[in-house]
Amino acid sequence: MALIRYRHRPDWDPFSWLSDFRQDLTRVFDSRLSPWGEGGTDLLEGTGGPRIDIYEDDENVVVNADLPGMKKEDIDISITGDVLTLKGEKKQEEEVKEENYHRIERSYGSFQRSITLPAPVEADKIKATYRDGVLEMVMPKRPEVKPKKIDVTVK
Amino acid sequence: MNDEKKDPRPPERVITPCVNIREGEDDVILEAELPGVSRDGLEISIDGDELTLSGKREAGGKGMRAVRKEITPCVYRRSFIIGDVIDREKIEARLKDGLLTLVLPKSAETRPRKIEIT
Repeated sequence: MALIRYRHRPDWDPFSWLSDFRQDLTRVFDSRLSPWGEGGTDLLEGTGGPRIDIYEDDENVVVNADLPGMKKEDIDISITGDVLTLKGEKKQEEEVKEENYHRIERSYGSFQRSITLPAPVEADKIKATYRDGVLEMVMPKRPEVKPKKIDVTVK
Repeated sequence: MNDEKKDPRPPERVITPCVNIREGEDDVILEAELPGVSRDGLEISIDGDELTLSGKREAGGKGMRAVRKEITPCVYRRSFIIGDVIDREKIEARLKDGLLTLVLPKSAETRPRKIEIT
């Protein structure tokens, strides 16, 4: 279980300290503590890449990745065989002097994550959309791995 | 049966979103990462001196089998104490690509003023 660092925040009044403390307690049970800060909901510790979901049905494999506040051109998607690789860089929007920050929890920098897909897909038919900060990739399965219905004839 | 009256959904998972807060001469800017939250799912309210943002994200992959799940459908919620420095009438909110930017302008009286020396 990860240890929580207690941070002294002199500029916060007791009321907000209490509400943050309650949230810190909740995080004891939230196993996804990020090395970059308290929040870190998008970058996953250990993999250095975005949180992902993988879904499948008979027709498609779908991968969703949490990448809030990014530009499409800073995200790179590639596929080799049944391994999908997401690469990119999360950049800070503008040059802001550090002393003007009260709090920095958002993480920045390059990331790379390779994901083994549950089935081979048709690489040239992948559709990727970026919406509400979620990158969604819909990948049609190769015809040979789609389930086929076999009729049983009774003699 | 009694069960029909109970809400079958499990209680919502509340997650604290990560934020950046920076202060300029004229305003305080807060950025919160809210992946998967759209305009309809976002609520920003002020109660007294407490500003609360709350963004709901739905589960993905409807109708499909989950192979791996690292993203939790949840409510992103976080509250902040706003001082008198902020002009509440002029707070602006922009939500783009899962990033909420709140611009909290400082009231005119508190902005730095240059004093002419005659």
